[in-house]
Amino acid sequence: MPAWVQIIVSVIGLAGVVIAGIFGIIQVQLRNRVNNVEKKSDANARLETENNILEQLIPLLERKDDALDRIALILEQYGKRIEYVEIGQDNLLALAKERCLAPVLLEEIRRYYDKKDEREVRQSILTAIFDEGNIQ
Amino acid sequence: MKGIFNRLKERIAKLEYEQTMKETREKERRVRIENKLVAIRDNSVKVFSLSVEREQCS
Repeated sequence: MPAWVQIIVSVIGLAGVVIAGIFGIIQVQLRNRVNNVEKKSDANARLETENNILEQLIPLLERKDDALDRIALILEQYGKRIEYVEIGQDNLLALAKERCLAPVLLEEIRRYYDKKDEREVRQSILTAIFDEGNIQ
Repeated sequence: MKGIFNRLKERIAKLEYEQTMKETREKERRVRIENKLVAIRDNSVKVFSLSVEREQCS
């Protein structure tokens, strides 16, 4: 084979190796970027799911506060009409912690307005607070 | 060949942009949710402080 042919073949071979190297580098760069996008995509999906769950919980929490609001209002009216010295500050604070009791207490207090025998209803309110909430 | 890589780069850049925008949106949404939760907590404390004050007044 003549020398000039060998030189041309060598140059073409060398060019091929250089081009393959360049493509390899670009490929690695692209793969890294794709991996980063995938990681960010996964993190965003988790964040979105967490946000969706929290957004579903917020109305429930707001409704509970609405119940507490109404209880506070009713307690004000209730306090004007009967003594509730047995309901101490500590018990109210404990009740605040036991927020799931709010609807039960609210129902008991509402009965106060519907029943004539105030003593019985007052007792049922205290029962709802102390017994069902296990508050001493 | 260069055209293929350029198209790939454009698609990846588009995906990166979309995910960055989504990340920003979700983080802002999280801040709004946390503000709501703080408001609910503060309101709860306020309501019961009020109840306790009423109880003390009686």
